[in-house]
Amino acid sequence: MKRAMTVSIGTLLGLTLTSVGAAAADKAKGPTFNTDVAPILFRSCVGCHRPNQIAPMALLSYQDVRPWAKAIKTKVHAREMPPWFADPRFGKFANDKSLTQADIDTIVAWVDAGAPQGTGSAPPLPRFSEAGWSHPSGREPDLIIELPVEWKVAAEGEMPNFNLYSPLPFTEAKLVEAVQVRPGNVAATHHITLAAQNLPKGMALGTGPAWPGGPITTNVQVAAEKGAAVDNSGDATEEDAADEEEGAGSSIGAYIPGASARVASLGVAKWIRGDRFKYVRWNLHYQATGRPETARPSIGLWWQTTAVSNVERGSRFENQISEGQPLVAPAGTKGLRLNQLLSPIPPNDGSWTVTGIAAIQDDVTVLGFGVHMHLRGREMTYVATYPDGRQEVLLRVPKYSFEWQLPYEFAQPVKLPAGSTVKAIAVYDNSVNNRMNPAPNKEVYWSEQSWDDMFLPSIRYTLDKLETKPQTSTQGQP
Amino acid sequence: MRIRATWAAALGIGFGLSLAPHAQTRRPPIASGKPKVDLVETVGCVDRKAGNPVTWWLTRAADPRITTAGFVTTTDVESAKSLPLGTNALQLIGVSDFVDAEALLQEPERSRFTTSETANATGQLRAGRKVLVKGLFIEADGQKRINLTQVISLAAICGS
Repeated sequence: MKRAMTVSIGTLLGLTLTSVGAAAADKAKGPTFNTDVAPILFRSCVGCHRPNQIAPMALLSYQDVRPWAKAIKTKVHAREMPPWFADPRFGKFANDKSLTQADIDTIVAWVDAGAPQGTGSAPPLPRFSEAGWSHPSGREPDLIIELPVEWKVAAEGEMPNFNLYSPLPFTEAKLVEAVQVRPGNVAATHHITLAAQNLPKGMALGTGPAWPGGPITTNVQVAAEKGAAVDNSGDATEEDAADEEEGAGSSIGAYIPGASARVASLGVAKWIRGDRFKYVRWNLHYQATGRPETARPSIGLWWQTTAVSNVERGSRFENQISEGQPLVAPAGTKGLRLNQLLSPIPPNDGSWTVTGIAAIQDDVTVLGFGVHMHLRGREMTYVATYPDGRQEVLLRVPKYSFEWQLPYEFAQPVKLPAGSTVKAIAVYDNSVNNRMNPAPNKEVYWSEQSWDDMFLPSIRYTLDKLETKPQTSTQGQP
Repeated sequence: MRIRATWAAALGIGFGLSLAPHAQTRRPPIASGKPKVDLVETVGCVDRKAGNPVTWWLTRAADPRITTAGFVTTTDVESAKSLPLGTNALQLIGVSDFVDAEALLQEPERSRFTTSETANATGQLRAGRKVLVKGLFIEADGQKRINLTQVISLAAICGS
């Protein structure tokens, strides 16, 4: 036994030394997949480049990666991948997946040397959800709610936003640490927003047109007595994705292109009010892809399991200035509809500007920002003006991409004292220089259709006055 | 509705009381009560004081009135025109978006990302004008300030 152990230890030592020696030899030759490239890809790329995600190919092994080596070099060298759009001069963000110059140099050198695998083995992969969910911990959701309907998207034509409803499967107010909405069909989905709500008095779930003149489906609102269908199109908006003014309000979450699980900061959670609301409202917006498609979205919820000290909320950015003109609402306006005051963007205008302002009336801790525009969106910048008059850029997205509408989560949340404002300043490009622009010769109106545009900045924060001593949880109970 | 709970929930912890026994069910805290800082509107005369930096003031300002709407309506503008001036002197901050484009571009933080093409400044804030302002009312160090959210010019000369 003693001899066997000695032999084993000797063998192990020998193998280790061989491995170390091989790695050292690899190092001398240049970067290899196992030693140098895999750690970069596993840290910054495989969150999307794995099965059941939006990326077109997996990058989980040398065999996966080798055929794509040259394309990877091109994309990382151009800083097109991983997608990240924040100006590095302003703010540090927890979800910044961008590569350092050293990372890029390593990948370029590796590809130029013939993309060798190297000796030994690659480091272990991060933990992922088997089902393809994107919680950073790799945990599966605690609850998954699927749309009860598999929606058919026609190959051609336009369709409005419309709402379907399903029962909310719990009756308590619950805290979630993360929400993810999976579209079920990325190509055909423009956006999905989800809210908890009650049906109007006298209404019930039933079968009827999804919108006036639209296809007949289940899970729409109908009059409870007579069974007559009602118009339920379009009353929920993309605005729901960002506008959670009440904090304890009705918004559940959203899918927008490029989004993954939205994870609350440590100790901060989000309420879903099952005690107040009985239904999930699925506000759906699909787009034709040129071929018939089907989509069945789903929601993943991860319950808060750590101590909670506060809940997140959001604020509205009132549209105040456009192209140097102050915006004034018509007489009698009680509340503004989204982008109601904005004039159309003229044809071929390359720098149409809009400013929205959020007034901060209590001390808050800003967790992060979102940016939502459509195809003419070019840049958005968030600037704080503190009560002493000092200004600070908190986030700048100089090259907005409609295809990658990433959240920007601060690495260290930002304190804003009461009396501060946050300005969101957006620039739109309706010229031929915008390669995404489908029609530079047309005026661009403001709506949720992607051929129109939107100005929808969003801020997530906690109210400091509601901060409590973190409450220890026992199986998630405070 | 197809609902799938995780394996832990499926094991029946909680015996069907909830699909998620780990979920927390406390009632949410409500952000009630008066905010720490009020959103206000008032009228007054714009005054620009030289210095480094230049400061902007609303002199002869009426007492600020608390408002809840973050936007201005045409009715607000019309009624503001006939509002009498007052005796307050309020420092205006957050002025960059309401001065002219040239002044906006001189503001150090703004000049880091703003060009002459993207300077979205209204130019409503000019010395000598009567204006309606909206913003956050700050009282600190014995001084009253408004952090601006909107400025509307009411008259080129601040007579009454």
